[in-house]
Amino acid sequence: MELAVESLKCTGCRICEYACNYHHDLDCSANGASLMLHRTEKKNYFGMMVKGERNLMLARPEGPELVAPGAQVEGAGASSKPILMRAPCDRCEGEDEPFCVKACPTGCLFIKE
Amino acid sequence: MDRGNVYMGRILLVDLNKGTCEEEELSQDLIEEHVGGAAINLALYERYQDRDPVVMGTGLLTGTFAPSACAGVLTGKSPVTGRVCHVPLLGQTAVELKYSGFDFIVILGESEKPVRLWLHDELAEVVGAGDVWGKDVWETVEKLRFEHGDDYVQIVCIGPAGEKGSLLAQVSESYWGSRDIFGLGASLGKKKLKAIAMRGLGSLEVAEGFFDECVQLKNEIASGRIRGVQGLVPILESLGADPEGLKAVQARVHRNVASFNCIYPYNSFVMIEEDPKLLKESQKKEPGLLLTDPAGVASLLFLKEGLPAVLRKINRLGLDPAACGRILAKQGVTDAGEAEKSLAAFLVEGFSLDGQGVENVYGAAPWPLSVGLEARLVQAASLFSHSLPPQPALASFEDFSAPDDAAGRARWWLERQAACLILGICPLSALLSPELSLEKMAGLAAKACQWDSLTEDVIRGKARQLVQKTAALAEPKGKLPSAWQDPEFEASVKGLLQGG
Repeated sequence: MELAVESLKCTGCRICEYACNYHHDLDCSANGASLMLHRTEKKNYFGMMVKGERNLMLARPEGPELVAPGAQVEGAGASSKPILMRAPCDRCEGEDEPFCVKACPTGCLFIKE
Repeated sequence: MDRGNVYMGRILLVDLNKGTCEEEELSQDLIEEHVGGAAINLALYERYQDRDPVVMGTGLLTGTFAPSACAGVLTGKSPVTGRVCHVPLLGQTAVELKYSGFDFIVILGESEKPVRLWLHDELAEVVGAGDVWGKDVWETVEKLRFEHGDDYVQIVCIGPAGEKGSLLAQVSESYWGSRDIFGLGASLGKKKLKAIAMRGLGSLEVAEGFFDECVQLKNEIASGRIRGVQGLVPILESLGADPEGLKAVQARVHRNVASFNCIYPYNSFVMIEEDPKLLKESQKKEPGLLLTDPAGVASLLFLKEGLPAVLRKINRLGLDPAACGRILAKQGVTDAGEAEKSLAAFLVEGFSLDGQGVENVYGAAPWPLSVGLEARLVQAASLFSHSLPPQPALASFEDFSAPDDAAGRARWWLERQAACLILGICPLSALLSPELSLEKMAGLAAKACQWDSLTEDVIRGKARQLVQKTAALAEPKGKLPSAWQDPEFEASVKGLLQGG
């Protein structure tokens, strides 16, 4: 069971980050989320990054890609670095549905069996 | 009431004459009396009225899980209308303000030299802005984000229009246009305040059960009226804007973008020098722009394919697109290149719609497409930005169970805007989704901070008070368009503002 991202459905509202953080830290903020919107604002290029147990999923508009943590990744600026220090996604263990999936308004986040 | 669930608990007082920042506690009493957002802004405005304050504040629910809780508000005396006005801040701006550690900022007096404000992690500094004064909005945002080493810094700033004191000057929200049609860009220019940059890692507590209730309302909204629709063009289509102009804009739309926690993505990115179907990251530095302002786009539609390039220039100069569109149309300019050149003449101290012979409502009626009496009434009231449609969009007054008569509908619109700007709920989303009812907003507000007596009626009362108090603070200058001038209409506007 994995968290999957259909990146083109994302509208960049960022509520998934806050929902994820709520699972980890029980408060409302984006500081401890296992996923993060990456956005080059002036070019309208945006997608999700999800921290996994062993790797980082870059859900780019042109398709998902798995990379090793710390790998040099084109298009991910310094602002995206905090994701590497976050807790990995645990699919909201103990909950009936991951909070990011629940909170997402577009269905861009879902669970793949 | 649990303040820590909704606010950081801090008001920042910035004295530009002295170049200092002071903190004050956001007291429980102030929240209990005014609830939040525009109502607290107004209380702070009144307290410091003799120092020409501009107040930037966040709503009770701004930055929380409540659907569409993206809104903040700028309150100040409009140099265009003479009235005190409330301009919604959407996108990510207000959320970043709250999480930087400050719920409200009161900007007092004037600086001698250009300055900017940097808010981060409960710290605030006034710093020199000699390095960005004279730069356009995009250059300013780029430079400040680079300097602070973070692309997620949100910036409220002015461009050359505000620096020079043009009354068409708009406060910008990072790169993009805001909903400021009241010339607050000129007010910041007069204060020599170039920019407010914000970044924060704060957090709010969450009441038991609040998240699930928010998710439930989000699901109702997503499967409701807006289901299957996206972007700015359908909104303007539903309001009867020129189909040919809209077709030209839609052909350039890349992807639609939502403001924080908004279900309907009403911002649309349009590509200019790039294929709108591009999935990869563009190799061009500035391939397009984000359309954020319904009235501005409506006002410039006559430029058709030329609209995006002209609007990009308008955004860079920090001008109000709605007003620019009215003037360009009056001048008979239809060529994009010629339009871009014409804009330079708007960057002059005191430049206004009046001086260009454009009939307007106290300087600022951007809705050539609104002819309904209720739409004329809310524009004549001129308290909340009519950058947003003066009526529901993608839905009708009936869908919202609004009153049948024009005066009743205008009152409904004013109260809905006021309630949203008090609570921090996006006032544009609230015109698209009947599911986002005042009852539901009040329920979430009460739940968020365990404030049981905060009912729909209480919020409606605060909204009415906000309208009346704001209107009573200053007399408007200018006059109504000639076609609108009749004693009955003027009496209706007065009645609306006095709560009659």
